[in-house]
Amino acid sequence: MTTPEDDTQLCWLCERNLSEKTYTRGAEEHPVCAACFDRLSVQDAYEGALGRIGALDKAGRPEEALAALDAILEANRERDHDGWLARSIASHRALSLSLAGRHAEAEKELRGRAQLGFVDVWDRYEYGLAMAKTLEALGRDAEAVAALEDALSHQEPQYSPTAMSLLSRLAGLSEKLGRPLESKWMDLANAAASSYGVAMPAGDSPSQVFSALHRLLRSRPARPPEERG
Amino acid sequence: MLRADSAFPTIEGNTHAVDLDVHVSSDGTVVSVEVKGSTMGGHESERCMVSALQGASLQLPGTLQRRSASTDERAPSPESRPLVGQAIALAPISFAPLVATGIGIIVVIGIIAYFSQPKHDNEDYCQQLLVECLENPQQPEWNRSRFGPRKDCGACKRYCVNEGYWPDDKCPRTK
Repeated sequence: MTTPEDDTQLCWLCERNLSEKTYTRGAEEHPVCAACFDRLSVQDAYEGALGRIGALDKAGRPEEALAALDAILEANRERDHDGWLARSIASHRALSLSLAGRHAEAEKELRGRAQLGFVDVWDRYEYGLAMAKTLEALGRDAEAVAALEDALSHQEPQYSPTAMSLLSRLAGLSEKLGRPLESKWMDLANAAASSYGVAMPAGDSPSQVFSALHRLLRSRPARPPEERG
Repeated sequence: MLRADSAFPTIEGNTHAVDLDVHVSSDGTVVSVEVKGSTMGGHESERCMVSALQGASLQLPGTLQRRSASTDERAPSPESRPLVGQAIALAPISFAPLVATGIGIIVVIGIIAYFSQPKHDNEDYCQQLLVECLENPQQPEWNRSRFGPRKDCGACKRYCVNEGYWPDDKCPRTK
């Protein structure tokens, strides 16, 4: 990570900018640029509060959990240059509301989360799953299907295991609605099975097949076969 | 089908009984109502009662709320995680019969409610894995092209709580 011209190091996180600071976490030390130093600092602030927020959610004290989340964002807003913290807090607010059974508010929070944008396909999948679950809880199954299909319209092979989670839920909802599953979703499942070198499981319905494949992929090592060397 | 103004089939004079199974979401909203038994023979008034309950708010009795909130269920094993949903159903709760009167009849309404409660026992399981993630926050080399050098353990915990399992593709449990 040293530039050819001199001994200056590139930022450990973004690998684009020259490092200006040293980020320290436990025994780790990494040379980082100023923006990434802030990015890692806000991530530490959020992650450090997750135990307490989870305990509040579990204790049925969602208002306090939401207030704690908001306080983290307020305290770190100036350092949240790329919006990572705002996106994380919005997603977590939706989760806290959902856990409290406040699904209508969770939906609103998730719609606000979508406005903040997505950084990669996994990010879209996390959102799609949360939105589908929320809409299903509100009895709006057809809209839940649409949320899953929208997320799945963004595909990259390396996200296959997570895609199977969406496909599995999509197949279940389609069955519930009495709708046939589009063949393109079966093609996607076949591609996921193929990329992980597993045979498509047998089942009486797409829902059963997708669920079985989802479990199978999750039981495999996280590292895809083509990257195992 | 009987009209609202048509005569009721009676059991004891002008008294009728309707038994309803009511399914209630974790936020107290009635999501479905099923007539389990009725002496009203599908009369319009019976359907009116069902419609009135749909979407209504029904609260878990206070003592049960406290019991539910204080119950610390044991987390299922990781192997059983895929089977875990976000909500659990409490044992059915029978409400004291309601008595409705009007248009010259008495209707005794029995309600058995099935409340879904938010399932929080993912929290302990996922928090434990969050701690492990934060103890090893660097992505392994093979996963950096996808997710960068630092794991997003918070996103993985959210996913875990929502879905019931840890996303090993994003936050691998390898050192």
